[in-house]
Amino acid sequence: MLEQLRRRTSRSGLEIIPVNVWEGVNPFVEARNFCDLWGIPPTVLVDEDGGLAARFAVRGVPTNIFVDSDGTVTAVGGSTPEELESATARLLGSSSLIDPA
Amino acid sequence: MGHGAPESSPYEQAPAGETEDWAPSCRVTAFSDGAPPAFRVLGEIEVGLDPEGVAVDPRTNLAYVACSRSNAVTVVDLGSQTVVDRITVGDEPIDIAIDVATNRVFTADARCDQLSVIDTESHKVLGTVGVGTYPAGLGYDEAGRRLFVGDTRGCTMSVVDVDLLERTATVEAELGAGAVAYDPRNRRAYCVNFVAGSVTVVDTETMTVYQRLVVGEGPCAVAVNPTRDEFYVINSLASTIARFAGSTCDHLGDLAVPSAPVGLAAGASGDRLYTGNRGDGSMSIMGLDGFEWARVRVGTAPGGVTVHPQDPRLLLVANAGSGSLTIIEDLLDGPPATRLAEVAHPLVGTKLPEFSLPDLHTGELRSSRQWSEKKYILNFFASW
Repeated sequence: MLEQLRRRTSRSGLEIIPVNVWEGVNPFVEARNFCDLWGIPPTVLVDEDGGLAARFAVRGVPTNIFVDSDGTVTAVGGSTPEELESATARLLGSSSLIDPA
Repeated sequence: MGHGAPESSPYEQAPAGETEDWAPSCRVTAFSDGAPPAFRVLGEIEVGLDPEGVAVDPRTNLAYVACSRSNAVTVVDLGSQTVVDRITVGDEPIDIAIDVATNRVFTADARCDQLSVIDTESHKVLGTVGVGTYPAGLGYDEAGRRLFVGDTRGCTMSVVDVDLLERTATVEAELGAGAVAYDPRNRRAYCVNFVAGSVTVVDTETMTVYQRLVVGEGPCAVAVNPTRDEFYVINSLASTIARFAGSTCDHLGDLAVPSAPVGLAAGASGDRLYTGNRGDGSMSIMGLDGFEWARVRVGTAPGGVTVHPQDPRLLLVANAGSGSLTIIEDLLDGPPATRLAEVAHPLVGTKLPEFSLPDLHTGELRSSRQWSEKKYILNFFASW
């Protein structure tokens, strides 16, 4: 879903930053294998001890935090395709996403 | 069952004015003042890394929890809420089942293509049974003395004789075959194919594919409701439950579920389902009237939900993120008088605090300042 979204919004300047969390053991190995398998692009952060998730009140995965250019959080969640679409459109200030898949 | 365990808040209330110590994202205003509580959280027990499947021995009141990243089964005494043993099994045990007749527990060890067989009296591993590639789900046919195994990468459903401890058949399923449920009334097994977005319905008399059902996105759990002759499939990516008639396999509609549900169990009363909502750290009591009756905050990234076989009001939720098992008592006799209301996540409308985390590939710390003045989405994910 996110990779499709990334392609569809590629000209908008929107960045999607995956944050790996709660792997338990070998987080860097597990996350790298997972990213290779699913073709997740290079920028991936690792929240090894879940500290950032706790700080941001993230209680599950996937959780998306939508951040505007002034740093304001516009939405949290967006786990279904519809939620992701509408929250992204709101963030980009458009009624629909700009680059069709 | 130890009902004298510590009691937490009987129902969640909307957060008010949290700042540093933020409220969980899933809190909801559950019921108006004076309404009877919908549930009790009896306790939360640390069990190990990435717990997924749970099986309960009704004779001993012991829960066996498959902790996939610990490569072990943690045994929990539900009465005292204490861990009494830890049994090493194969790599990445995901699902688990118990056969009371033979005193055996079976784990689906995904990364070594086998089932481990545990003796429930000695807590020793008796042996293993080879199955297809990456077994991730188990369905149990008590009368037929069989286990059905979803082989995720093998795209098959293995059939294992629980007395002979050998694989006796293999049925073609599809990519991502995982969760399996057995329907004794219709003598069928439902094997859910996560990647293919389908269910392979298998006639267990002939061990042939009876029907292929197209379901939603990311189906990953299935449950049978014998009271209504229905079965249900969780679509984790769409956050819905697809509802089917057991005898005809007709699609009866979809129920909307909270964020990224991955665990599913049917209530014994026949009027409700329980879902483990991986996306928001909660378990829902979903009425088959189409409404969510209650939402319980549990540990982080919950998955498997199991109904206690002896006391079906007791629910066990495995929390993959926090490595814990939550024990809940469902107190609802039927639909509540008041509907749930969503509460916005406390971050919404605030400035996201600065943060820095290591880069997966370089290990170098990267600061959120790098994305200042940009629009971005932080996507928290796990590989399991």
